[in-house]
Amino acid sequence: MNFAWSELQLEIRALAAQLLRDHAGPEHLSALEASGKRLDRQLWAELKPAGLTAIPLPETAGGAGLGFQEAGLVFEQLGAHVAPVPLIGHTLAAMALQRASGDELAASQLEGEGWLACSTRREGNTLRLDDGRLSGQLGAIAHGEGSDAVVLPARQGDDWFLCVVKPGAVGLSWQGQVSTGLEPRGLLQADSAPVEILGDAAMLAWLEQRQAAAHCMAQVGVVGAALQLAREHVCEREQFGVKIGSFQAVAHRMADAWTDMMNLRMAAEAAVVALDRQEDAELAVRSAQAWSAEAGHRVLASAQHVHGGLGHDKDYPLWRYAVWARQYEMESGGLGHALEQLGRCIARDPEAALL
Amino acid sequence: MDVDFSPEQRALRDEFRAYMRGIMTPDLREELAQPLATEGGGPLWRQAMRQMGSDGWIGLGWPREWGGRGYGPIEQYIFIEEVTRAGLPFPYLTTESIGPAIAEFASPAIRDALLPKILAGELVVAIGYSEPHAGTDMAALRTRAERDGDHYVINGQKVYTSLAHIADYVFLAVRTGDPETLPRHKGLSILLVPTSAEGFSFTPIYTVGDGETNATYYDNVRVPVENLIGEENRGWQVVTGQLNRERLTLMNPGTANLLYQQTVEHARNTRDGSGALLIETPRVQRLLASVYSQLRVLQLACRKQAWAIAQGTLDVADASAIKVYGYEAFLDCYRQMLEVLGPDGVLKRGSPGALLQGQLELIYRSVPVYGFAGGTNEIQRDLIAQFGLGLPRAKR
Repeated sequence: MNFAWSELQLEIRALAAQLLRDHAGPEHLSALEASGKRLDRQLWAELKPAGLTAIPLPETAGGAGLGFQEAGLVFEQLGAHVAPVPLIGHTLAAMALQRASGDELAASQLEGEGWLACSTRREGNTLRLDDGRLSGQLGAIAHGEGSDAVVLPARQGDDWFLCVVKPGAVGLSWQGQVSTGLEPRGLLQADSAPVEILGDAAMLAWLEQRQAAAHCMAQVGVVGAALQLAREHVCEREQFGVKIGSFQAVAHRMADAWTDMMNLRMAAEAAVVALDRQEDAELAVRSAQAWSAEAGHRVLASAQHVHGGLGHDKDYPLWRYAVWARQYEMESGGLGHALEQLGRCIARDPEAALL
Repeated sequence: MDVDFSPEQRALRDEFRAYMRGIMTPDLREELAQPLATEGGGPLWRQAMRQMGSDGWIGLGWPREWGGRGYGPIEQYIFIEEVTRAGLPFPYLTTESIGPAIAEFASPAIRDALLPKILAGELVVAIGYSEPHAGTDMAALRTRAERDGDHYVINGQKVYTSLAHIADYVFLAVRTGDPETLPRHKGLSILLVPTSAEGFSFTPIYTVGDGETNATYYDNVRVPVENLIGEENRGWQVVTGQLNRERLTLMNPGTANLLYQQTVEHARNTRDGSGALLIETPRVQRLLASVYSQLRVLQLACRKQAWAIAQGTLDVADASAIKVYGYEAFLDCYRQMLEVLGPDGVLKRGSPGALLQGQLELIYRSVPVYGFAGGTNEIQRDLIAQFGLGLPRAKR
């Protein structure tokens, strides 16, 4: 057992934190959000040469040659700074391409200034493969339009496959959507569009677990940053002539938030560690998702509550964490979905789910 | 990062788990199921304790110079997780907390007399801190000890002195200082009081969880000064050290893990009204998933705590958070496990049709004790706020 991150891992986290702190401060984010599009190409151009956008890919595939744990630490910082870049989708799409098509093709996809997008959604996904062409509809693809390629699931007969499309291909059309976190999303309509199959349902499940864990690590960053803001606030704010953090009712609510944070972090870290060792780490991933939903909801509610009106003021950074906590909570289906999947997993193989 | 035990630690766990299956004979289980024997004290329980002692399992984490096996906190934690999983009521406070306090603070005569007996499974020590007017505010305790030559003379009353009815000694917190010059925690001392001493008596307090605790009375009880643990009026230091050592034993998920396993087994072998196996129903799957996700995180947090103790980096706030969360998780998980069992889950042991030998029926009754045992959770939340978050000290 070793519950500490290595020096290298801490350095990677610190590098990500520094870059995001320097380039994605609250004022910068406000300006970007005022423009209506929460996508920062300049920041993306900083992250790419720093080697932070393809961490878990082999160096021969254009990556950093590290593991999913290291990627998780960068996702955590992404959350902590609510950074407006397509980092998670890009990293996961690159992992899928490398797994399906090998290092060379992945490396060629990672060249240039663009990004890759990724969705693993099956619910509400009507995309079908027919004779090597793609038709149907899939919504809420993050940073899909404008990307270099989109990795997505589609059905053929009763079976799901993982596929890749070029977003500007003939037969594809996009309608812009905006998520609660103000992230650009796209509703994709496909009408007999060219498509390439990357893998079968097992590969889709492989990718979906990693995407879920990535969102959990980002949630760790979101919740941790919100808790930090709340901590600073209750140590400063005075009412009735004393710091409000000295009221036991406030302090205990904060302590419960801290405990939730401890558990969320533990569950999410255990998930990314497991994914580095196992193809299938569903028990760890679904547990982390359940914690991401519960802790995200509870801690942000507490953080906003102790802030009073300030927690709703768009000139104060907390609101961003509030919407992104909900974003990451719901991104993979929320608590009900996590427990449903975890319960199925336990029922399928109870011996593997002993404690 | 690596959240798993090493191969050696896993081997130790497997060896000890197999060993405990041998210890937990049907006769011993029957004895432990008798009224008021749930915490041990019966002849077969004493025999099992001596057996574990002679087989070298007690004091696994004690240093070799005390007669232990010299393992670290992680192995010690494995031991506790497996004993609780096996269902043996084990006097952890004696072996994991008071024993080390005696080794560190007691006079050589007491140390040399008692440590071998603790290791042999022959000695139980009860803790006498709480008083009718001093619970969480322990520093308000009133039981007094006056020095009289080579002895202390103790007068007072304690409450919830658990295990006193089967114990050989009480690890007693008393006031030795003048309350004017040495108020509250400054005037406290720890005395080791033999339960055979003249003037010591107890009356039982029967608890909702089929347990027995005690009110203990000290009427001019004389104990030799060598029974002083630590220095006179410096007992607070001994108490806080003891409470810190208690960390590994509090909120151990061993029992909950076993009951979860048995609940899963039940769900695999039982059908609902429509003929479906319980474990195939979304309702039961969701309940089991909720229990798993909570207990798994508790298990990881406890293991991380043992690892942090081994590294010398245990954080006060982390330890308190495990205490707070462990209690909340137990309350919620036992409730959800009972829900899996359905209405028959609340049938008592011995009733025809009782499920899991009535274990969940029993444990949900006793589990609320964890909300305050080992330091009430309100104090733990104060500690998290103060040390984890750096908030100004809360008003009490």
